[in-house]
Amino acid sequence: MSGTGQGTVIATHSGWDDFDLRLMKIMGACLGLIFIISTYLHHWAPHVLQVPQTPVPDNTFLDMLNMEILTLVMAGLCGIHCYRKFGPYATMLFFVGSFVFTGTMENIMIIAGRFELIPFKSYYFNKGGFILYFDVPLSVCLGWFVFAYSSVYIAGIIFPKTGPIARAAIASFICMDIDLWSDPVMTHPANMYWTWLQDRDATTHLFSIPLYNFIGWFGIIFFFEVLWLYTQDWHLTMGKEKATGRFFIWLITLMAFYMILVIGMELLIRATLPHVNYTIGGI
Amino acid sequence: MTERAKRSWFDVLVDYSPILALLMVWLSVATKATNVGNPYTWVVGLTTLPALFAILYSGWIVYEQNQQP
Repeated sequence: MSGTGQGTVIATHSGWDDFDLRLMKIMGACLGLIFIISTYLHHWAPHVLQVPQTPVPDNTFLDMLNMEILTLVMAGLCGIHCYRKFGPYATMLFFVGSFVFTGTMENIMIIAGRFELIPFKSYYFNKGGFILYFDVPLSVCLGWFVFAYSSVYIAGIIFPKTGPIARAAIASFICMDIDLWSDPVMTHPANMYWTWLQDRDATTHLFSIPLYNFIGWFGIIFFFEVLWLYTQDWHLTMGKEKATGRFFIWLITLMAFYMILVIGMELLIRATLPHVNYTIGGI
Repeated sequence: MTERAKRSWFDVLVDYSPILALLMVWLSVATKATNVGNPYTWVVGLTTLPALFAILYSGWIVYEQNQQP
């Protein structure tokens, strides 16, 4: 065990080996290619993904650059922290896993909602930076990594004796709690970082945000962290190639499960809860 | 000189980085909340007190641990 407050997490720091470097090159190349294509489509061919062109305040190139640099610095520092605690392999799994898991889930919700592949409208991003991962800003995906890693670390610091599931649940609660304020503020017309497309009378809202969003926040962090906490030391027993393959198979399985869960949950909310906006002073 | 005394400012920054990152997220939301122009925004902000307490308390624990020889 390494460092403090790591609870049941086992440190696996053993330095870079050939597999780590190969994995980093393959993942880096795949993500880089996706960034180039996505950024081109978003800015120069927005008709392909029918990207909404909403005028928003404070979204100059400099604003976008600031946002990207800030999140890159925060993600970089958290990445170094994770590297020092758990080693390169576990850090790569956490970074790519959280980035791909949360970023892909956001993309599925956005694009499926836009093209009516799911039974309700969702949302889209207005701001967040210049570089895109499909239709989600890179800074948002990096933000998910920061959220996921920071919250699980803090949960481990405060409750060092908890197991992976309790620890992931505490971390998810911290993230969801911050979003209770973040979502209403960031989507307000004065800020407009992203836009919810659901009508107020179509589903239950909390602070003018669809209720399923907050449950979704809890779930997305919880499922990923449980996966990582359980799998980040698999390579010690089964080898890195097999462990990495299994990790990504579980990741894809969880994505499918989570997608079904979110859609089912929203349909259940619509069917059972009153379609009102629970708000304080109009917020 | 002990090992702890050799730690650079960057090492200390990295030690606190997960805590600082979430604190910065909270502060950036607070900054954007000033644009909203509705005082009830701050009442809604009170709902994040458990998370803010967790962030600050974990910072205190890390500080205490770093003070130990």
